[in-house]
Amino acid sequence: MDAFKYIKKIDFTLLFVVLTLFTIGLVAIRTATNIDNFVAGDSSDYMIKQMLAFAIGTVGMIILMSIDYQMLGQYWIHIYVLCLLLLMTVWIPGLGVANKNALRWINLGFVELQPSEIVKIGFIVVFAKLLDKRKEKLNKITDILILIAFIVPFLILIAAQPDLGQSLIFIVISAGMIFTAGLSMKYIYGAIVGVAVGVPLLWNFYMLDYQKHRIITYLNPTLDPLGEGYHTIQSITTIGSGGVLGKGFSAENTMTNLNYLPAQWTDFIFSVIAETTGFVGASIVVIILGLFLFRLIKDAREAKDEYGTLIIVGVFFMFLFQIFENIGMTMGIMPITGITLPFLSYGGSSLMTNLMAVGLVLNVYIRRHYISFE
Amino acid sequence: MSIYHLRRKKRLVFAFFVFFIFFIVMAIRLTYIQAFDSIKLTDEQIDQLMGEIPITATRGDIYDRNMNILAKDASASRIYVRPRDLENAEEVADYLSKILDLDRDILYEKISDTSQWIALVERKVDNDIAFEIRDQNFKGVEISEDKKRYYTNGNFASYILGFTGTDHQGLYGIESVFNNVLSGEDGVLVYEKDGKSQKVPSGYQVRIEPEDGDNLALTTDSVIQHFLESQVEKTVNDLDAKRVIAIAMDPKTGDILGMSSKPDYNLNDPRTISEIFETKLSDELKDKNLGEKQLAMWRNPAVTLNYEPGSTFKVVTASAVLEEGVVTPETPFFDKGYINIAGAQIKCHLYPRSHGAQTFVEGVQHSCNPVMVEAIQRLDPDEFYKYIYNFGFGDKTGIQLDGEQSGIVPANVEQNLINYVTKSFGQGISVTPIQLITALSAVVNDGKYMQPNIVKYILSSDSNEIIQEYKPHQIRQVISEDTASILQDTMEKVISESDVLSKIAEKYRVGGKTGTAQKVIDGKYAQGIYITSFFGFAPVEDPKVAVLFIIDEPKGYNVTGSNTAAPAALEFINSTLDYLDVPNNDKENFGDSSIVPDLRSQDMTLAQEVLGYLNLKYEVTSDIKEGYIVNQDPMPGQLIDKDTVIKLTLDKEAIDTSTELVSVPNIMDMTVQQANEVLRRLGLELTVTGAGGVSTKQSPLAGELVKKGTKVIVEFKPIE
Repeated sequence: MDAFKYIKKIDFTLLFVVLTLFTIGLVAIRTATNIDNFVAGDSSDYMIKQMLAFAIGTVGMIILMSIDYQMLGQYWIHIYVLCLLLLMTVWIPGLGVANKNALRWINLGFVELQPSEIVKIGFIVVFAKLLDKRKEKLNKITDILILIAFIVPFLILIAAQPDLGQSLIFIVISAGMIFTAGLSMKYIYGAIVGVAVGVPLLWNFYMLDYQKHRIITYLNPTLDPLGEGYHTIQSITTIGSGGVLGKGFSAENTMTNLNYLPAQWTDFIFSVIAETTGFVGASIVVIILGLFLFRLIKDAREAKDEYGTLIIVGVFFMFLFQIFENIGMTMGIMPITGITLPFLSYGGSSLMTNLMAVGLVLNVYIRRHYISFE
Repeated sequence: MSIYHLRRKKRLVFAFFVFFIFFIVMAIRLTYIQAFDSIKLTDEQIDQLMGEIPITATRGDIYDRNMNILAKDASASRIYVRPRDLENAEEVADYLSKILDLDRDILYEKISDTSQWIALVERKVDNDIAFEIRDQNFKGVEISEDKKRYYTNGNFASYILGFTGTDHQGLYGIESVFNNVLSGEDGVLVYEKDGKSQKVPSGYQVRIEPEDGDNLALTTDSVIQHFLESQVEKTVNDLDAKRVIAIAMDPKTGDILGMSSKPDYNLNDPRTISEIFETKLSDELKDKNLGEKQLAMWRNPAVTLNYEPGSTFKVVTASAVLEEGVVTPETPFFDKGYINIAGAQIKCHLYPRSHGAQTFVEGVQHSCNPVMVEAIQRLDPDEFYKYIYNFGFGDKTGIQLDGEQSGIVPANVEQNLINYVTKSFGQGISVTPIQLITALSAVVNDGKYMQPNIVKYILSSDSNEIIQEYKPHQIRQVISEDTASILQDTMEKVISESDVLSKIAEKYRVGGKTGTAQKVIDGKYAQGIYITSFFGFAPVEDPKVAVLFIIDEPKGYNVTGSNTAAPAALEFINSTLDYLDVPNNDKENFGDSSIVPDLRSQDMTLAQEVLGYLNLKYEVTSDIKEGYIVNQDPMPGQLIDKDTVIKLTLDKEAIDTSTELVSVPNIMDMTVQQANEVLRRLGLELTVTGAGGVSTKQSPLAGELVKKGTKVIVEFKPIE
């Protein structure tokens, strides 16, 4: 019984962590939407949609877990093309949905999907495959250029939507995977120095204020139009006023209840948790997220081959960036982008993608085999 | 194992460290915010949840002595805009600037500034305009409650009342002097607001109620004020004068009955300088900016004007010399038309003719300068100054009006003779109108100098109970009753022995004194430019009213106090005494009256007697022929022909007069005085609005049945 053998090898800790985060997320979404004067719809709608997305995502996770990643790797060119086509669907009239000048969503009639979310899974699989194939060729400049040429189509398509947050995620995932694959340190130092020197130079000496502002607003139109920093301040105030023990779920005069936070059921869900449950609750959430990331690193080490390791590493960097960026943004140490908090924020596409990413990790993990001397 | 394989193992460990560092950073930041900064941030949160709206206290009402309303707060609106909620700022700016009469560009800038949650567009907007704005249903435009001050008749008593500023604070007149009493205490509404700065309906709310201001009842009488204003207005026009100032006072109590100065300004639009004001006072307003012009317009000349009184001041001089006994009323004097003092010649106004031989009081009556100069030389200057000060000159009278001046009394040191003696006829000394009328009223009031007073009561805001009363207050006895009596007689003769003046004042016994003074312009006496004045009081036997008319620069040839100020003042005295029902010299015959008497609730026998006396025909229309009259037609007070038959309805019992209904008479095209008489005969009360002249509107309308004692509001307009 192959199936049974695999089920026994599932990383149950990881699954438990995911389930816990999702449950906390549900409670937080309920808190954030079940308020007087809530303008964006009915609270129970949000709950039902989120649970439905979880169910679909779980199915997707099981499917993704079942197909051997080695087999997925064989079709990597097909997946690569499929991903790019999927990203282009937002421009199909009648299918793409425009929201504040950004084309990020497609409407399938019964549900809206964000292709750039789903595509991350495919990208991790194919990029891991590419790196696996070229794992001994990471020292020459031409080697690097090939990798970059591979990534650029994705970046162009996503940046054109435009979506700064998702573009950054792709860059972080790629960078993390290339680094782990064993890129020569000289390029890494070079990249660090280049970014450290080049960006500030460009920003300070070549770009005019209106250009900077235009770039920011072009890449991210949902950015607070009422004065930068306003939402950051509100979020910090929200978290800080939660104190050590939080205000509890029945408190009335909360920032959450009074609509001070923008999109508090998605982007600022962490602020809601921190206000309601205080430092104690927020720490528990951060620790669980840490445990989740730790399990990913651990699973990556235990993969049976380097292809598997690279897949999990891609997933790891994806989550690491999302978690750090989202929580950092609510606490004022990262800029505000539309990146959600995995498993906690409301949002069907991201929840399904995240579950499928876990499916990918489990796919690799259950096919590990210990070097056995028995 | 390749070198790459080993490298990859190391890199994975390194990735773990990256993750670990990120984790630590998040933990530190979270601890910092939620543990260290928590108290500060909680305070900030509570602060930003609190919204505050001031609730303006209702300002107290101002009434006249008969509790007719003069100034009142009315509900108005405040217009706000939430710039971030506006859908079309251009359109809203166009509309609001038009309807509120605001500068469009400034308004647009204000309402399109999205860094503000809310912008105040305009306060004190009339509710009907606010409703119109509301009907437009602009998103982001909000209307809240405000208060606006209304003055019943724009220009009426403007210098007494004053007006309020944007924050509802009193700026001039009674509004300013009694601001503390009238303003009350503003309240505040503290409420919970949400992220969009909107009030949370379910949130907590603390309302500190405003304490409404107390009411004031003035000593002025609106009807008398009305007579005064009409007369002042007429005089300004007839004489083409620069300005006419008048004060009416009850000489026995010091109560101001009326005070006016024209041209004046409109209290409901106090910032607009009327064209007439601009032309009349063009000399003074030259080269001044709008603000300075407004300040000039708002200044109440009745208490701020320093002027040389001229001959009216002779009453003060005469008081002093008679009281000190340096002359007696019969002391003989001889006027040769002039008198030489220290090398200068002081002329009598008759010069080159003269008064010849006359007694002292005749000299006063004739307003003869040489007599006054001679008399004053018999008095020690220190003594004379004592009287000047005791009559209140050189110091503020302390009337409850703002900006009062002290007059100019040059100190009594090293005065040369010429400067001293000219003061005897009111030169070289400046007084304010209020000082002069108060001083001369003391002579009328048997030598008792009364504190001039314009506020009668402070009344509580809710029940109109008297909180404080300003009782008549005698400051001192300046001269004896005997001296006062001599001067009253002398002043009566000023009128009675003048052909022109006695004709105007034939109805009552009136006393008075005229004054004609050359104006001092740039420190010199200006040729042909005068301030004429008249002080009068009546009736002499029991003075009810004293009045001072001052005419600044009357135009025409040979203007004097007697041909400018005196006729105006006497007309005013006549109307006022009629209104006050003072018995007069007219032999009125009720038999000639064609006004229907009030026979209701009278016994039939008595009614027959009255009707017989009045020579009126009547007819009993009811079956009962004896008893009490319950109804009559025509109604009392109506004017009828001699042969009209009055129909009477009788009943066995009289109806209670306290709830009796009367039909409102037609009072169109009547003067204030006539209207008052007709209404009073019917047991109705008159409330005057408008600006003098004849009645053009009344409420309730003629024919309506109202209870006795009802106030009938009548609007008067000047005849065009």
